Amino acid sequence: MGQHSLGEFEELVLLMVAALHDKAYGVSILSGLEKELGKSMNISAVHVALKRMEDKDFLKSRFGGITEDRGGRRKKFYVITALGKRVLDEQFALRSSIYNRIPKISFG
Amino acid sequence: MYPPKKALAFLRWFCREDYLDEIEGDLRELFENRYSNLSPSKAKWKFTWDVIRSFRLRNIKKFDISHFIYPIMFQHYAKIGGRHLLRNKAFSAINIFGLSVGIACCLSLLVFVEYESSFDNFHPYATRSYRIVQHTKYPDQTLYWNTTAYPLAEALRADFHEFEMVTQTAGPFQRFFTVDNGGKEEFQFESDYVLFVDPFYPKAFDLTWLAGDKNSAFQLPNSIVLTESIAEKFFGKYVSGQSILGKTIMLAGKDPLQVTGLVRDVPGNSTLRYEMLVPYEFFRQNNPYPASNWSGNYGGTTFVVASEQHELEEIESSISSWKKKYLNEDDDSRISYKLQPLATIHTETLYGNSPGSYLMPNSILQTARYVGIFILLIAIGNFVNLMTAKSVIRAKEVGIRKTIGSTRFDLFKQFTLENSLLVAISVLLALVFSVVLINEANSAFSVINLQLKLNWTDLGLVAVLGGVTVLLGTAYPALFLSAFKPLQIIKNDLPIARTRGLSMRKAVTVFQFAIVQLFVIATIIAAVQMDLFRNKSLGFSSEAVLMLPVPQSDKVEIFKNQLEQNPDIKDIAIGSGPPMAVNGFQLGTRFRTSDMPEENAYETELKIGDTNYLDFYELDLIAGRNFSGNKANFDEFIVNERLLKLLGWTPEDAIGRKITINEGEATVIGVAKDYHNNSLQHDISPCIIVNWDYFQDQAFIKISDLNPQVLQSIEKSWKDSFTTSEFKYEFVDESIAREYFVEALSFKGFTLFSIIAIVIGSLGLIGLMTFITTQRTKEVGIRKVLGATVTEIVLFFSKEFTLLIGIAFVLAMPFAYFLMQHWLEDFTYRIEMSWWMFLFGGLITLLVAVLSSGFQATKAALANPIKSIKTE
Repeated sequence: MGQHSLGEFEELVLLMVAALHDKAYGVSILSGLEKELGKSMNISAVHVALKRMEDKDFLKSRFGGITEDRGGRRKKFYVITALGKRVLDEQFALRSSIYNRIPKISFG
Repeated sequence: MYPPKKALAFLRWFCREDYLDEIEGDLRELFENRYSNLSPSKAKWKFTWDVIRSFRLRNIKKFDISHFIYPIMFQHYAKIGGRHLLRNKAFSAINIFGLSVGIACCLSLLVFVEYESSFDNFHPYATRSYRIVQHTKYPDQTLYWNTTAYPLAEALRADFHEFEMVTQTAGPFQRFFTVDNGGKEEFQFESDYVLFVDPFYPKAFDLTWLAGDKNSAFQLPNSIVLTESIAEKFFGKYVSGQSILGKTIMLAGKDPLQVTGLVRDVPGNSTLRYEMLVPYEFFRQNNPYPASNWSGNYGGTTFVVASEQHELEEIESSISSWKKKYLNEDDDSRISYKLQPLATIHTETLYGNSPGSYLMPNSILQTARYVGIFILLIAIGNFVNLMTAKSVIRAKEVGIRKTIGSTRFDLFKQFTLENSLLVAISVLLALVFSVVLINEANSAFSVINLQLKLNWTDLGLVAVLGGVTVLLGTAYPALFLSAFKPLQIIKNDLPIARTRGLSMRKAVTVFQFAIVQLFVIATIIAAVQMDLFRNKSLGFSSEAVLMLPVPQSDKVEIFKNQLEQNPDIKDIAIGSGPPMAVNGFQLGTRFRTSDMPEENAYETELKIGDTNYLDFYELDLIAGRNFSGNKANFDEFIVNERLLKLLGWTPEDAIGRKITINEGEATVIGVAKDYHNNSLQHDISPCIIVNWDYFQDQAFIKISDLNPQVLQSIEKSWKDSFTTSEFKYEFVDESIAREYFVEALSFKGFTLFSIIAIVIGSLGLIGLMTFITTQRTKEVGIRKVLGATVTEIVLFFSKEFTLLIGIAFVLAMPFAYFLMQHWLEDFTYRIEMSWWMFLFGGLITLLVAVLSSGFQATKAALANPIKSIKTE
């Protein structure tokens, strides 16, 4: 994993951004996560995670068009970068490899 | 469907611009969803919560400090502010003057209070040092002494381990000295502050040694330690401390004392005053009787330093069971010893002045503190009122600035800077005033050795006060004026309720004038009381009477004869003091009839006179006769009516009966009409006048025409008859006036501060009137056009203030009544407060207010209505 650290919550947000592909902005990510995890969380936590990962170049963002909703405020859409994808892959690979080393016996 | 305004405003305020779209947008979308899915109130609550949760360092705007470091706007504000100051010179001047006088008064008073409360707190064991005081119970009264019998200190030292140190002082006394001035003429000197102290004194109390040290200086009885200033007087300014050691000073021309030390002068805030310190051992050797007598109380003070683990009450109770070891049975039942903390010596009135020092009652310090704070409040209230009034006149400027693009914060900065400019000038001026005031006070009260000075903490206090004043003065323009829409202001279409809504300022005015009237009424009542002190008939005459000390010797007759030759001298008498006790000096004894047991004897004053004493002071005899002739041993008493009342005798009864006093027995030959033998704070007390050589140490000289020649000739006869030492005299009238020093001081304080309060208050009124008349220029114009006369308009404006001052009067009256009731309670002979004093105070205030506000009102009323109606 090296210099690309990824927290647990960040990983979830990153996964959700990747899953929502091009439709990922604050509210959609939040509602996606709440549905998956079955518990409520605060939007500001999502914002912080997004900003952090944008700083780490796991994500990039663009603004959507101006609408009448949201008090005239634009949406900010996030997409996963190649680096972000690689970090996710590495994380996944790391976990599966350790997972696979679990001897069957321990599930007794 | 709109999210909570405040939360949204908060979000917009703190959130950085580039995040705002995302965060606000998301928050609003969530809000909209929740609004329809959950409930409006929950949605609102959650929105607020989201905003709070979004308040993170990452989301907060970079604080733009260019506003503060960009100097152009500040230069602009400073320039505009300066121009405003100069444009309204009179207005600025009264504003600055009012505030600076207010701050200066408050500061000086606080410095005074701080100084007077700091007495004796610099000693190393100040918190656990106590003075032993004595309560003596008699059937008719209890006497409180701050002095005790001399042997007490030594006995306590031997028997009580609860005390780390016990030390003893005698005096300060007045003594004569001679210094050998290098073989030339002998140098004569007198000091009123010769203190006898034991070797423990320099350990228990703080002395700064310039030469000699605390362990060796008091070893030998014939030593003397000088203070710097007295050493300078003796030996000249440039003599070093070390070279003084070992020199000899003659005490009273017969006892050589060797200088063993030099210490710094006593600081002003010390009740333990001395110019010279002589070992107590010397006093004991020369005064063996008082030094060993447990019953008498001859001016000895005992101080103790208690060790830390002992309770005050425990010590007091063990002393009370211990004292019978030394006291005889009568004394033991009468006398109880208490421990008085060092810090309260200066402010506790029960025990009277410490020997050689003065008292500053706590009540006066409290009053001074409140007067200071109130004056400051009046001044600040004023400043705020005036600044508010002024800023309304500038409403248009505010409107235009807003149009051009000033934010409310910009306006706030502008007004703050302008006010700071004013306040800074006022504060600097206030400091100058305070320094002047404090120096004045120090020199005016050099009698009590007042040494006030400004501290850094005081400067800090002033800075804080200035800051608060700036903020209060800025509040109105910054918060209210800047909130109006620019168009409204420019079109002069301000919501009337908010600019005319003077309720806050009315309240300030009422408060100010309540305090002003409180001061004025207090001054009037104090003035009437002072008048009573000065002009009440005392029962004797003391006009143009000179008092000077004479030694007890046969030369007194020669002195008298010499003076009688002088045509300007009307009369001479000899005695122990004038009829009224002055300078804290009064002889006391106890009297009884031969059939009364000794312990039932009453306290009485003992006054020594000669055959001429009664005539000299025009004391009336209501029965019997005057003394027949001079006698070495007295056998005749003249008593006053008060004394007879205690015995239940009529004046006629009394003549020829015998009375016993501590000093002996004699026959009553005359009864004097009661005269004030105590100053008017106190009641007349029993008094016995005796014609006795002993204690006849003052000459009284009545002068018909006071001129320098008379004084010179008296001095010459005095020096011819007695000695070549310093000639000192005082006028009895002045000595009597000095008895009311503290009262005179409060009276002067009341007068000064009520004048200041009235001036500051009126300045405020002028400001407020300016404000109101400007606001209602058009109204005045229309009223005039419709036929109102100038008088009517002036009355119309004054009506409101009269009402406010009326309300203030009603508020001030009860406070004034109770405060002055309390003040007057201290005096046995006091005036009755009557309604006219209050009414007079109210009327004076009203008059000043009408004059000051009437000027502005008249100006407004006289204005040409055409012009005022045209005003946009």
